[in-house]
Amino acid sequence: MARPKGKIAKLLAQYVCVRITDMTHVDIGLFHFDPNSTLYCFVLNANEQIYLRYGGRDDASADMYLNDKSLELALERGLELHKQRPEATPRPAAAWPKDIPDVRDNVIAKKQCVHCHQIGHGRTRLLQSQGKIDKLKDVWHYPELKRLGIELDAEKGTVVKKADGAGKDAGIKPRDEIIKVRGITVRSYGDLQQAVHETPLDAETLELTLKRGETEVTASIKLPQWWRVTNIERRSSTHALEPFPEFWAKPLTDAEKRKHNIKPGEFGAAVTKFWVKTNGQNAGMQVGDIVYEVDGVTGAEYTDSPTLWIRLNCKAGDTVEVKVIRADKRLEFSFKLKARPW
Amino acid sequence: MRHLTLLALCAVAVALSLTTIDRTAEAAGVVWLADYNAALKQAADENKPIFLEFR
Repeated sequence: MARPKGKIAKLLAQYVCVRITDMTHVDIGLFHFDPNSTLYCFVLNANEQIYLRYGGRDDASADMYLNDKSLELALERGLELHKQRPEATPRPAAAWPKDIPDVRDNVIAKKQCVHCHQIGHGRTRLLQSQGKIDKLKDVWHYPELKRLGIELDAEKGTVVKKADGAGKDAGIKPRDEIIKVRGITVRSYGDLQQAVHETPLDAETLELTLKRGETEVTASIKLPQWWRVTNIERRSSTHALEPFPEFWAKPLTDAEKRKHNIKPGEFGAAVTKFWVKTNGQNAGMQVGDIVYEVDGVTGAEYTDSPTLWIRLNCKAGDTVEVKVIRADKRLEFSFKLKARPW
Repeated sequence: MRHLTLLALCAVAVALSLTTIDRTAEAAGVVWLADYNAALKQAADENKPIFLEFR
């Protein structure tokens, strides 16, 4: 959006536009969003009443929901809302990047700009240091409705393109527009993703209100156990999880797995690098090794990534047994896990 | 001397192109502020909503 043109430029001209590249003085209690976004926007008024959010991503793409049509829609809605002045919701408690020790000590104290991803990273480090993180529950941020069988039209905000699985079972249909999540009004994909993210961890259902033609209908989606699971290895907040697996690896595609007689859903990842001399490398692992088993485990419902499995199920100081395929040989290595790579 | 002239011409070209970018933005009416508090004040003064971008 460096040089907006056409309709978007005309719409933006009706706004006061501000771009923030340093989060140091931002109230992250008010502007709470997925810190692993490349771009995230808010439409608000001079009293800091947020009308809607624009942004969000999923595992498949960083910018699928960021397109001209969805931006035009968000900007038009923002202007309408500014005229209507909807009732303000209570302002969340203020929070600041300096409240996160990792960000305060390693970024702000060094007079560096605070970036969004450092906030996610710092939050994880803080929870971990306080012993407040349940690694099989607390790590699945910004879940995707796709996991519930709901695919949205990326150009139309919250309009459903396809409904399958749990979403279809709840009665959701293509062309339905999601207008509330758990009673919270949503006006954009960003709003929707934030509301879904804030669903209580113990929730068994997700209540949606939908606009279907001229009528409003409700749907209650029964939530499967692992509905929040996404590929969190792309998140810097996940990189902060201890222990470090002692190697980096790229998951294989299903086709690649089949070549090695690994079933889809089972562990299968090719070691890509060590960067520093890690315990995995010291034990004899090499770049290109295919990791297919860790501590006798060959897969989990929530991940087929052996590196993520190690982060979620082991702790620093544990010794792991890793099995790999190298050429046609099956090899086994044992090494101790450190908290961090360096 | 020839190098200096070339350098001066390049500087003028860069300055002109930056001015053109600024003019394009102004023509579209889109000016990006970098100061959040200034944006709040301008929005109050002009009764406009704010489009806030984090990147």
